[in-house]
Amino acid sequence: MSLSDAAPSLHTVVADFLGNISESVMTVAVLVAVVLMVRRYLPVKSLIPIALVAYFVDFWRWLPVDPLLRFILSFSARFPKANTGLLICIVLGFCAIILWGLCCYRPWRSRDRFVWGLVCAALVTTTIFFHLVTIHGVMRISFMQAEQRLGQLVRLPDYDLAGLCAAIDLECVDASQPLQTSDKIYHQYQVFLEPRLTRRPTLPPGQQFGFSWRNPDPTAGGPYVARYQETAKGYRLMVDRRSLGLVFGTQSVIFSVQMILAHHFWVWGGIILLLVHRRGWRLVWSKGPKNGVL
Amino acid sequence: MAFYDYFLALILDPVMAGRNLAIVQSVTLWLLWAVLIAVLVVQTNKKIWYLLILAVTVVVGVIGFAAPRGLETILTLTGGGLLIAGAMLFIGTRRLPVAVTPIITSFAAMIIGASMIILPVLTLQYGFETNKKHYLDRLTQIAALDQERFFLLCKQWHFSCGQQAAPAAGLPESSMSSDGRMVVYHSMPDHQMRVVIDRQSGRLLRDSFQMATEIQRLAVALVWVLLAIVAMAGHRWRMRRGCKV
Repeated sequence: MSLSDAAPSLHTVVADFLGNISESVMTVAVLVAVVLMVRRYLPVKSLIPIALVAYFVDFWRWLPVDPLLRFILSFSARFPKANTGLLICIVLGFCAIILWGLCCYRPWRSRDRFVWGLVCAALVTTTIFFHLVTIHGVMRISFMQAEQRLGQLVRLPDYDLAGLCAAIDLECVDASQPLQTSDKIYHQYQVFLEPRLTRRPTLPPGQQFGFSWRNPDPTAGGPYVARYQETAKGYRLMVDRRSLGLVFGTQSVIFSVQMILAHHFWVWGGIILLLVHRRGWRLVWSKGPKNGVL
Repeated sequence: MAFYDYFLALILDPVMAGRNLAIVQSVTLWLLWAVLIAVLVVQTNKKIWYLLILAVTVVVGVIGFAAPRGLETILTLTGGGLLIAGAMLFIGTRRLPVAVTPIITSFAAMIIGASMIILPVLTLQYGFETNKKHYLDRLTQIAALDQERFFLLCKQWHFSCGQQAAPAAGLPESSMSSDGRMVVYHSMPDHQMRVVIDRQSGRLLRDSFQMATEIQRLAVALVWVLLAIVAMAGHRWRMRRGCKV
């Protein structure tokens, strides 16, 4: 089975859609922060174009942000592949720092800037928290269990793995010669075999190691777990993708819904908080007080 | 990763030992707070009402402590209640304006109450149930394998498996028991049936989802209690400086 055969499940499609909404509301936060870097107080009328751009324009794809993101991520091996959500979180973190930095100088200080710095920090914290619990917690446990099960199968001596794998929807390679990058099989399963060379370049015969990828990107194999076993003459590889699609999709939906609820609450709650602290709607709808005291 | 594992062992294991909090307890607390805050709106600046909130939250917390499902109850009810009530006592002594304390407190209570309902529905009702059905389907797929592969997988994956005569009344329904055992029945030719029992997966699945729910509810409760305190303290600070709050 080639990598392109791994079709995303319905849950994954729904999670993608929800994820876009979540990114949109985070974009609102970024745009408001940009406005507040220029203006001390948030002009209410600016919220309409901000909301339109954030919700209906694929804002981030238009910006040449990939090189910048790759540069930032090159400092940490913890983030093997960039995504838009991660980029927005990094930008939000910078926004919070800049807004609070502006508040350090008295003439530039304002309640709007301080509160919006809090909102940006809350968005980043919420994202990290939900990611730790849902993606890095529950989903990781399911993936680890699947990986352990592959480990119990891949070591079976002299067994017809191909038939077994076909029966339970696994992908298997049972090679009778050592792994070589020039082999055809290597190119077919490069996504799964490459970690053996990069992460465990010296794996002794009889030893195995497992790895997983919790990312929907089909060019990276989609969400999968894999187990590699070095045998006396060659190697074995078992990959489980089919059974993990639903696990991944469900957790992604949960994560996205949590993010949507929490982020909408922080962003629009924060905006309402700013507005109700202004004295009277006349000031709310004006461009803000000139003397800085509300 | 080491820190994360340490965090799991230190924080999550005791929470899991306390099992899940019944939603009805949370809703009760939410309604209780709502009623008391409604009273506060009418009778604000009377210390007796703040003391009443303190007393009620302590009583509810003690009841929660006595209940078998414990740690989260203690933290959300007693901890949150004490913090809010204590903050109100502290700040309320200098008489904040009529609306400030009830609005902030009821807002925080509303968020906490809503999260107590939304998070279990999302994580347990949707996430756990979907995954449970998926695991049961997976076990059924294994039960349908040929004899050799069926028993091989059972041995390798530490399932308890068997094949026996099917009951005349029909196959029992595949399910997960309260102790986390997943039991799957699969019909075979010649009035036979296969039984697969997985003692680990279901428990692991249930525990991980419950763990996630408890942690999230705890975090939401504590964050909003702290926010309520900070908000009230902020208003009090501005009032002391002579600003209108």
